[in-house]
Amino acid sequence: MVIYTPACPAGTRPPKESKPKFSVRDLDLFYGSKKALSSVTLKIPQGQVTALIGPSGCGKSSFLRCLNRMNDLNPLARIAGSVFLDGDDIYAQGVDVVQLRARVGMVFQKPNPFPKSIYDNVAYGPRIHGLTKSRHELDAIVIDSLQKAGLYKEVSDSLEGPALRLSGGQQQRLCIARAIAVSPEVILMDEPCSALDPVATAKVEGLIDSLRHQYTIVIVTHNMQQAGRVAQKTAFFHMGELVESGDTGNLFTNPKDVRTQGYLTGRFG
Amino acid sequence: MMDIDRIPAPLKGPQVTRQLARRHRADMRFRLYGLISIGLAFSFILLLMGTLIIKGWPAFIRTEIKLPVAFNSASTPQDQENYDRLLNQFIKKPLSEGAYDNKSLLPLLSAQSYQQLRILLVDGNPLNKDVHFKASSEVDTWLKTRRLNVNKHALTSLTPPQLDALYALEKAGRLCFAFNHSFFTRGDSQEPEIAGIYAALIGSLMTLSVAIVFAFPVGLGAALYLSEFAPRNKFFELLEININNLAAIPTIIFGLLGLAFFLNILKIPRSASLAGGLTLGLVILPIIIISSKTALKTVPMTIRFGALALGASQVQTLFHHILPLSMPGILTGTLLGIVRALGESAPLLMLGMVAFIVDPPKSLLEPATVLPIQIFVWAKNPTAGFVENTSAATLVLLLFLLLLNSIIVLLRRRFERKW
Amino acid sequence: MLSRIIIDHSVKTVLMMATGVTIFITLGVITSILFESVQFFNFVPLGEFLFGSNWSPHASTPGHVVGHFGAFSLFLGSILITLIALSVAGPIGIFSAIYTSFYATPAMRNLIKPVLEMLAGVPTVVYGFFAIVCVAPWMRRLGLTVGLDIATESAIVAGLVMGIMIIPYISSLMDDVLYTLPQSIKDGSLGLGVTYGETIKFALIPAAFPGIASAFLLAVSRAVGETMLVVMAAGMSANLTINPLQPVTTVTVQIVSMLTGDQSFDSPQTLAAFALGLALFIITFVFNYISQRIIKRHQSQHDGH
Ligand SMILES: Nc1ncnc2c1ncn2[C@@H]1O[C@H](COP(=O)(O)OP(=O)(O)OP(=O)(O)O)[C@@H](O)[C@H]1O
Ligand SMILES: [Mg+2]
Repeated sequence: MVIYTPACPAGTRPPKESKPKFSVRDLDLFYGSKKALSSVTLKIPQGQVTALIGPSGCGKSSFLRCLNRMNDLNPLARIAGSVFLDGDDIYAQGVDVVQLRARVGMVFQKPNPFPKSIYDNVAYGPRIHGLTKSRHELDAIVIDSLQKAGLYKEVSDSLEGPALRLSGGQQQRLCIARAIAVSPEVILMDEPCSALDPVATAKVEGLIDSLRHQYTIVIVTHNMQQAGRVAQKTAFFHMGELVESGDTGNLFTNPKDVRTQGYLTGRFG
Repeated sequence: MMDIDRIPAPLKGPQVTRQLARRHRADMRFRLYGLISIGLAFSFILLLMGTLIIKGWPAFIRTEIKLPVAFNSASTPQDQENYDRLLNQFIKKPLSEGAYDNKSLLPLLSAQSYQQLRILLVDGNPLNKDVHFKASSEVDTWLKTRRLNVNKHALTSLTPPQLDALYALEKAGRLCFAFNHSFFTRGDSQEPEIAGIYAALIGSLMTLSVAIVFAFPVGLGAALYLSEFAPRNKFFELLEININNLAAIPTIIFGLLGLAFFLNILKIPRSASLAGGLTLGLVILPIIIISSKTALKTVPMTIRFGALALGASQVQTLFHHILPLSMPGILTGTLLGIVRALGESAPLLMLGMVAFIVDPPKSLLEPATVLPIQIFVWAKNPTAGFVENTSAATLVLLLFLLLLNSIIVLLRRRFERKW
Repeated sequence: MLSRIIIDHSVKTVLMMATGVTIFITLGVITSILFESVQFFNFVPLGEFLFGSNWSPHASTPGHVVGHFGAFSLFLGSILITLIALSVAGPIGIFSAIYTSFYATPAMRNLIKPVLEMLAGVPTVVYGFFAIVCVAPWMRRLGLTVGLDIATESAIVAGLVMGIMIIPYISSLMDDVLYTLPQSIKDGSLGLGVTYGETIKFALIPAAFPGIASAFLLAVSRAVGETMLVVMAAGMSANLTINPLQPVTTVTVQIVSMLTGDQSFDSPQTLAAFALGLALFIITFVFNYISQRIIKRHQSQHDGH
């Protein structure tokens, strides 16, 4: 259960029990003429939490957005290399981006619930994807998603209330519930706790931990402790390059690269 | 409790692929509706402009009949009767002898041709040359139908002998087109070939001037006071709401106010450009206030504080710093108001500015008309000549508006400033 | 130093006077209309005015009321024409705005928006003329080919042309609202595997709903108050009908027709015009006010988060 990257020493053999969910090969990303990612190669294991860390502007968000092709929306963005999801290249011709994004959900840095009711926020995806045949089934999905997101107890009697009236932490968990409701295989989270206070952060972290058995989770974070708490794997980015990656504990206690060492000890970033 | 595994895994398998294809098709259709809507809106504009241009451009040219004027008599005729007889002679001369009864060809010429002849003969000298006379509207329409392929559905009241004469005149090369400058130099008339927009243009100019002279100082003053000095309290809040509403209420209501106040209380004569101008001033006042306030608001507080900190008084700060900086915005707003006033006609209808105006007003109290009202009056007349005139007047009006709007765009480009 | 104080003071006084004129005008609009209307309602009961169906005011002379002043058919005519106009401008305006704010490239947007706004810059008298020379004959011919008798002056012609006229009122305002929606809503929806069109339909438009509603209200208030176009294209006869192929008359048309004759100022016709003006003022005021309130509430909601 080790992420295979060139940065890994050749001796450590990856155990065979888990096939990677994502396998990224030589990924380059350009915004216009500016190169934001250069030949990133990384495997992301299934059923685990992978944290992406690195100094600001190093390309973590850019990398994350490559995994569900959100960069397609940016006319400047151009990509080279390949990203495999369950062995299929998601940048291949004929891949339906819409389908891809339903399989690879995303939670953003700033909570962004729709200006609708709590119920409608969670029901939004299932309704559009036509996942349910009856109101009853839809209710079940909404309640189940809210429960998984650990929000149901707090909002059970105000499901029709406006989502924008929730607190920041509740809003973020609502966004996670919204993502879960379409039953994705992967959930990408871009600094999901950066707008939250410590209590709300703890809740979201607990939630991430409880979700990892069912979903593959990739999380961008600036918070080393957070990465240590929730992530089994960690990848360190620096100036658009993937410097090193591996088991979180390993990488934190025993970084191979001086840049990783420098970042972890707080010398830059 | 909820069974987690019951929730379907979405978006995999052939059925999902079909569903996705349907959703993508719906997306394409949705986007297409947008394009179609814009296409429709664009074609409306094209249709509108096309109609006006196709119907209007012939009004800028007119038909003239070249008559051989031969006058040797010692005494110049005195009355219209005699001039008409002369004209009748001239028009018959190029024609081979036919069964043209007395004066039946006179209606081919514009009703005012005798005046032109009188001017030619006024000094009593003998004259022997070809002179261009303006043709009547009937002839004008007839020739334009033949040569320019317009007015296809126009009915003609020309009699067969008249038509014969016209064919003969045309064969002799005596029918020709010329620029219709009198369209710009004459006032209204019952005869479409004589009617022009000069009086309306002058009326518009006078009315607009009154409107600006009234609304600009008042509007600017009120905007300055409201944005720089007015205390923040309920009263002024209410006033602002009211000004915003004034900008949006139908202009016809300003007409009612103008009628009640300017005509009934101040006793300004009906149809006078003074009353019309003041009423239009009321219409554009909220526009000027609102856009001036917006312009003043864009001047950053730092500039105010900077000047005040240097010891300038509030009024000095206003005149030396804030006003110059916001002037382009204020001018743009004023121009917007002028654009609005130039095309406005509903409130003027109620002040009696629908009078038949031949000569341009010489003072602000004389009856006047404005270009949009002239268009309104002519538009009711279905004869081909007046449809032409209406379209042409509309083109002139739109041209003025286009000009003003271009100035606005230029002003905005030139002075667009990011603080 | 003293002179500076004097200058300061007099400048302020002058500016205050300008503000006073403005206040005077706002009050003047309301009181003048109210004053004349009250006189009108002295001899015509409000109920008859609002719900009476017989409108034949022209026989009256000052102090001698013989006509009927039931303005119901006028209100009906205004509503009918407004509805026709909205059914033209609504879809076209909405879809144009959606296209310009979500699909068009910046260059296209910069081209399309000003061209659409040209429609709002054309004076209404020009639209009236357009209705007379182009739309009315076309509609008539079109009607004949399908066996309908469409009058030259008819609600449908006036409504259609008015619809063209108010397209930019809807498209422009709505585009402003849609274009400034936060990107996060778009991202949130697209990130769930929702197509772009579905995102617009189910996330963005609902989020902008207040703005759209206020654009519509403003367009309605424009349409109800529009004068020249209906005077030229809709007709003068007060028909109690909702048949769009028939001539109808509107509140604004009757205001004009009451006042373009040679009556004296205190004639019943003139007073009736003021009463109609009051009704028009109230209707448009309410629409504008609600529209402004919706926009304000919407803005503060979005600022708050
Ligand atoms: N839309 C864009 N257009 C152009 N350049 C971009 C865009 N988004 C990001 N970049 C550039 O790409 C680089 C990587 O940005 P990215 O947002 O991925 O960094 P990050 O690691 O997520 O930083 P942070 O921790 O601050 O969120 C930066 O230099 C940024 O300036
Ligand atoms: Mg980032």
